[in-house]
Amino acid sequence: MIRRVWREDFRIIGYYTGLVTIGVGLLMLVPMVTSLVFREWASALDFAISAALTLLVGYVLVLISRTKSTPGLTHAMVIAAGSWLVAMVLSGVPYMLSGHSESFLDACFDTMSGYTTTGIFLLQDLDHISQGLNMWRHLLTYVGGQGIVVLALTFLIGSTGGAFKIMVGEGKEEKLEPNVRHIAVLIWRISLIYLGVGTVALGLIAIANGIKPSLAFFHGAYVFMSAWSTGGFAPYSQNMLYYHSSAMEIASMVFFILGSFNFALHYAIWSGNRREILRNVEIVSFTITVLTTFSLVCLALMQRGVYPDAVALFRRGFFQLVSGHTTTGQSNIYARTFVREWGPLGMLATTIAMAIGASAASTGGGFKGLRMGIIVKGIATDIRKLLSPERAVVTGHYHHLHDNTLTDSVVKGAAVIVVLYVLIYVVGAVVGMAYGYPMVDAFFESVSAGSNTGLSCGVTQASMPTLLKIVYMLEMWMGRLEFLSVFTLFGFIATSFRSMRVRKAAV
Amino acid sequence: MKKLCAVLIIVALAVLIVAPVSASAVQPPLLSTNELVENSYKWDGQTVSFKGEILQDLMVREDGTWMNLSDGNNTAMGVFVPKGVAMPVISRTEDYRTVGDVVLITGVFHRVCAQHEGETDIHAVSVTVLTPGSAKANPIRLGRAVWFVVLAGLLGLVMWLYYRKPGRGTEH
Amino acid sequence: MEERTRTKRTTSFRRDLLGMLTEVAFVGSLIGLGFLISWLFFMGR
Repeated sequence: MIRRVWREDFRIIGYYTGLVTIGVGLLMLVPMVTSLVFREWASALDFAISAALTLLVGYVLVLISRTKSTPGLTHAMVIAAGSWLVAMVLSGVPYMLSGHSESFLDACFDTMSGYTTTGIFLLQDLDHISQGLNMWRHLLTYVGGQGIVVLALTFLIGSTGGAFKIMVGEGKEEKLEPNVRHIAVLIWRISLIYLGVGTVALGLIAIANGIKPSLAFFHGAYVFMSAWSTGGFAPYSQNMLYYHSSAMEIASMVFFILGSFNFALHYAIWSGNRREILRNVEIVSFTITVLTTFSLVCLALMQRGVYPDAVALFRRGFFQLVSGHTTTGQSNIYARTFVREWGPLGMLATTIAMAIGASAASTGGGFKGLRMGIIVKGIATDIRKLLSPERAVVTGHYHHLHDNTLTDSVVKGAAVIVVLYVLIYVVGAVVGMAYGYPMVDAFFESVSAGSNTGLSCGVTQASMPTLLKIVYMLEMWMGRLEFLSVFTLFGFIATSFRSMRVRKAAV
Repeated sequence: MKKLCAVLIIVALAVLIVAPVSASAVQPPLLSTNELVENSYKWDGQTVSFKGEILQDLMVREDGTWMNLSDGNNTAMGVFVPKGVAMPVISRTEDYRTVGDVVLITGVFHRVCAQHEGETDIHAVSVTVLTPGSAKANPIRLGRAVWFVVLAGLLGLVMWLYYRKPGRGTEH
Repeated sequence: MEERTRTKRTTSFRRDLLGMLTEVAFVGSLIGLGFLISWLFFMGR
């Protein structure tokens, strides 16, 4: 990859980034219409302005970057990372216009959090925003979960080769079918069917709980989008506490657990291979780690006598822990309650769950269950090798859609990414501690950002240090794109500077 | 006889003076969400007062009504009003175009409510509307309308430039 | 031709539904296990 950067490279990157930007602009029409429906005229105008601006930027980009070339792998990675940044900035415009963000950085923090399906936010006075802005926030997580890139793929790109490479840059590497358009359509089909089913189910539960029908399905849509994308936003500051409904919480939990599954797994199951759900290494890993970390949580909560009975322990404890493990971030307890009542062991168990995270090629974050499974099996295989006679051939296997051999490079690949995640978790924690936050809190919040979970213990506030905001934003971004795309973008920028200097010298 | 009357008058005066004083001393403290959540163990089971704006959804259920009262920036508390407690008429609840009724409630605070499966809530024993709700302005600013027209115009221009060359479209 | 498209659509719908039910059933069991664990902790107290 380290080669000279030519003008054509910029054209390719500009063109596809422009297409994604146009997609984002079109998306802004949804909250605009929402505001019109609720007669929120000022909010509708804000979205009209934002949409016009975003579409303008997008069309200018494609106009000046006209190209017939298809993107190579490097281009794809740069496009994935770059369009993420462009989308983040432009999507912050509605936040700024609403007056609910204290600064443009805060607005970008929120949009980065939305697109990466994290869920921590700096928005002021969430309880008084427009339906339009609430629709926008939740839509960001839904679309972010699907990958901004998949959005572009489905509607805007014709050829297949370049598009597949963009999706790999996005961090969803499963080889589902040779035709990328087919994959994108499939991902969307499963997601849209669940969107329909979920919105209706949650809407009906909301009505049963006393919410007006005209509003109930909006609540249903918001909660579903937040759950399926494992985002963790909610329309009000009390998060799931707002609804005072165990039915709402359990339904949401079903959807966020499902959203944390590998899309290749959904595809396999929906294609008839239903046995896969019991054999898949990620599902096995997830089940084990969820039940283990939950047992630790129960231990901590029982020791501190936090809840009066099993039902309360389950409803609060299980929801919070699974929300963390799937990297969703919805909560049915106050953030400060979590810190003060659960205590260090409870917080640590939740932190570990968040760090491990969801499945690969899903809307979730963290190390990913696939890597946990691979590393654990790798260690087991090494132990077996040590104990076997020298001439015996020992190979490990893991089942993911089909049986796979556990080669050294597979284990190494998994381990490298896990180390990188640990690195960002630690850096974020250290910066937090440098600003005076207690160690447990700093670690928790850092892991929450880096694993794109979104549970907060109170560190994330508009008043928090600017550097810490930037560190969390970088963590969210790198965590979501699993490092490769971000590193490629930085490498590309560095190389283009070097190329420019070489060309100047040559002249 | 005169002495007896004097004593009775003094006692009556004493009662009249002391009684209202002791009644107001029992007034439950007015607390915020932050105070209640930060010191949940201290206030658990205590009778408190709470004041806030009713957020959008007033949820009427079988055994009572749930309301969420907003008392600050991103802070709100769930208040449960059991069936037996008198609910005043609520004229408005919050949304983008409306400021909701501000109510004052007194009730028992629960750190982890057993009835509601571990929820942090207040079970109200009295509810009064302090300030009825009103419409909110949210005016459309002329400056923004101008910005929209300008941006839309530029967008139209760029789109025309982009689409006018035949075969430009989505080909690449 | 029409008969085949209709059967294809029914099979595809049936597969989607079974897929969804399988997934939801699995998740439901996981949630049930979680409740069991909470209950066991209280029993053990």
